[in-house]
Amino acid sequence: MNGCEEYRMKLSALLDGELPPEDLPDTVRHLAGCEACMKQFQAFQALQQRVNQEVAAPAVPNRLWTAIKRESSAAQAAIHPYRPLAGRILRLAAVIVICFGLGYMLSKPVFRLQKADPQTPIVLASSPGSMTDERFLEVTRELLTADPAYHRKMYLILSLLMDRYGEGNLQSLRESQTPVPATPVMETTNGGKIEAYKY
Amino acid sequence: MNWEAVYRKHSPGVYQYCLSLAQQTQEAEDLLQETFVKAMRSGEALRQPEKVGSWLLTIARNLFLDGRKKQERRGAQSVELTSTAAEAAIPQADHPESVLLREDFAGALQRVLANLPEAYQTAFTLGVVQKLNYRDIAEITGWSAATVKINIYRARQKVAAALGDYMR
Repeated sequence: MNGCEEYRMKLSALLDGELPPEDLPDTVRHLAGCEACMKQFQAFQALQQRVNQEVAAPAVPNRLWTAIKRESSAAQAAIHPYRPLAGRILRLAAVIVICFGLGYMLSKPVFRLQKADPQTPIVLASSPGSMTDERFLEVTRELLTADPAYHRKMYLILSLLMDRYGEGNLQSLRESQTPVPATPVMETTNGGKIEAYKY
Repeated sequence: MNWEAVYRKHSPGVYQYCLSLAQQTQEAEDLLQETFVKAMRSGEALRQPEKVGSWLLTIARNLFLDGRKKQERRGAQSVELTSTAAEAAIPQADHPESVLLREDFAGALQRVLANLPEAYQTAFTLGVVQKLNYRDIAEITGWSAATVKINIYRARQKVAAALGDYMR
């Protein structure tokens, strides 16, 4: 773009009120000294005047708004008829997935069991046909690690049992004829009471 | 959003722009209709309701360009210019002489614009006729500020050269 071309572009911007103020003095100075650019600027001004006077926004036919409303409603109906059905299918699928997921989680232990520790102080006796000591320990560990709240309760229950019936000697529990209370109440170290089977 | 109010306010400007692009009244009406239907469908996407005018012009331009690309792919012949678009641009006037004058200039302007590339049609209609600011034009078209300035200048130059007789 040559020098005059650059100034003519600035003149066009000046006419639109878009010339940066810092460019104004130099542009006006050039305009005053360049006949060709002055002619171009006058042509731009005359064109703008004719456009302002004689080109108005055209009248929009009234029927178009009716047609737009109709087409917009039809477009909405075209998109949405399958939406309720698709929504129902998705909801049903979500429920099925959640049920399967819950079922799977409930059927499996949350954590892997550790092997029974042979050093455990608890020595349990069991009658033939019932759970082996190792299995009992395994189940107990499973329960203790699955739920911390349950852990606390079980700990308290086991502590109570060990206190009353001797350490690890469940045989004496069976022989003692003393029923285990349905809802044992235990005292905690800070003097509070806990009902064992309530969560 | 109250679409009827938006239509009443902005449809003349959008229609004027559609006429400058489409060149035929029917095509311009179809473009206007498509523009508002699309806007009403995706109205929730407009984050600044005060810019709805610029947004409508953007939609109109994009729809026009997409339509033209499809036509080019199909190898369609370009639509012949008729005078119907020029007639639609003529405002009503009581005085017969002023009507004749207006028909002359507006019709001549329409014919000159029809022969310009789309970029200059857009720049002239939005910048010179509708007097939008350069920033709004840049948003509507996706052009840089410098490109807006250049396109308006070149469009003005071509139109002024072609309509010299009307301005004496």
